[in-house]
Amino acid sequence: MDEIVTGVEHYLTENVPVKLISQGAEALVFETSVHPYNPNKTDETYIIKYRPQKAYRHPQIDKTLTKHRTLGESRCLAKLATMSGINAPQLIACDPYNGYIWQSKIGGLLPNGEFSNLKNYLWFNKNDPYSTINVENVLISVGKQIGILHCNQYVHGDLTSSNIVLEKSGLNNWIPFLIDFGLSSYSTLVEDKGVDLYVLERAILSTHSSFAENYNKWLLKGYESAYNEFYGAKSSELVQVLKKFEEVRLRGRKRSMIG
Amino acid sequence: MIIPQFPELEITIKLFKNCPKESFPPIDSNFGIIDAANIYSSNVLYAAIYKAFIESKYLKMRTKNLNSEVLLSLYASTNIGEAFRQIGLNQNTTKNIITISITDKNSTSAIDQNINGGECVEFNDANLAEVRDVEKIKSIYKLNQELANDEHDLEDLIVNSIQLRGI
Ligand SMILES: Nc1ncnc2c1ncn2[C@@H]1O[C@H](COP(=O)(O)O)[C@@H](O)[C@H]1O
Repeated sequence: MDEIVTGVEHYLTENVPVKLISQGAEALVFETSVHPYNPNKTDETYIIKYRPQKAYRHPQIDKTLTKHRTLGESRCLAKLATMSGINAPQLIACDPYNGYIWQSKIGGLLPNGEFSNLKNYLWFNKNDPYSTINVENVLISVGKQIGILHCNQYVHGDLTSSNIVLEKSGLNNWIPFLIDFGLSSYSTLVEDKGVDLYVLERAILSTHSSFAENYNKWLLKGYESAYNEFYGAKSSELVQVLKKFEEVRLRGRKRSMIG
Repeated sequence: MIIPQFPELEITIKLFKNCPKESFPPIDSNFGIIDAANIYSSNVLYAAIYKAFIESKYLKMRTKNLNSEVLLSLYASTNIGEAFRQIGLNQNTTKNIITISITDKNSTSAIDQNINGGECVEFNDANLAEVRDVEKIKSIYKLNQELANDEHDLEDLIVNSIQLRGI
């Protein structure tokens, strides 16, 4: 691991000091206060996502895969920027040959000092009865984001409550952004959309079980509102996705009963 | 200025306004000189410089030098001749010109393009805003349609297409 970080530091040079903030199976995520090319942007934080080489893959195949995935995610961010109403990070730079993506940093700290992703936000608010109305609004907007994405024929592919990040707006308002489009793709299949919804529902159920029912209800409310705006009320597009969602859920339940 | 990842390359960008046509360098030596009407903002040009450095270092240099690589990075396709005609100087260019000089600290070769005549002003967004041609820029990056009903920032969309171009 240290070796990988050393490689990143070498690539970026000492002019770009980085802090490792996350390491997943596929990528390391760093933060820096240095913009990759604009000397006038001095007061923001940027995210650098790096896909390291995999020793077990043939080097040539590895290079091709890294390039393919880095480009895929970057293209997706670029596409999202053209979708009306979607909140996602801005692509800033992309080096597909070495596996680097620079993007704007989303989110900050909740009042309790934790990072403002949806997961932490729900934990933070679970004991505060006065926050219900805010939580409801946030979850409706989250659902709406996913709905807009799906209406534009994109699926996220990894919708967990850590991949939804909130930006503070005003005194007590939080605006959801979707992040991590590494597994995202263009898809017109209702199956893929149903799975997206199911993955998020599972994430909510497993980490916030006592309120999950309400949470999921609000998410769906937002989701439906996006479809209503996009296709009009009671669209067959919405009916089909919800039907598929129900099917995926049933399959999931059967699978967990069998064990 | 420098790009942080490429500290050995010193970059100087100049914006010349109201240049008389006779002051243009001869067409064959002006690789890399930009018609200022085509540059939406300083951030866009910086993004193209970054892209050109990455492409040249990690893939390959496709033109004669880094200046012209920048020009290529600014354009919507990998067609070099077209890029020069669209982004660079051409018959229609009247007066406002951007020159970039890139000096490698480790070597003596420097390309410095000087324009005799015209008024050299600071390369910044305020000065660019006076000389850019937003309609032409939209057409270069094929952004007309997408922006028709959209609040999205033109600059962000241009940066996206520069970063993803030609690969
Ligand atoms: N644009 C971003 N803004 C803020 N945090 C991010 C961003 N991208 C990634 N992260 C953080 O890095 C983690 C892993 O990113 P990823 O590999 O894209 O899932 C996320 O869960 C976030 O905490």
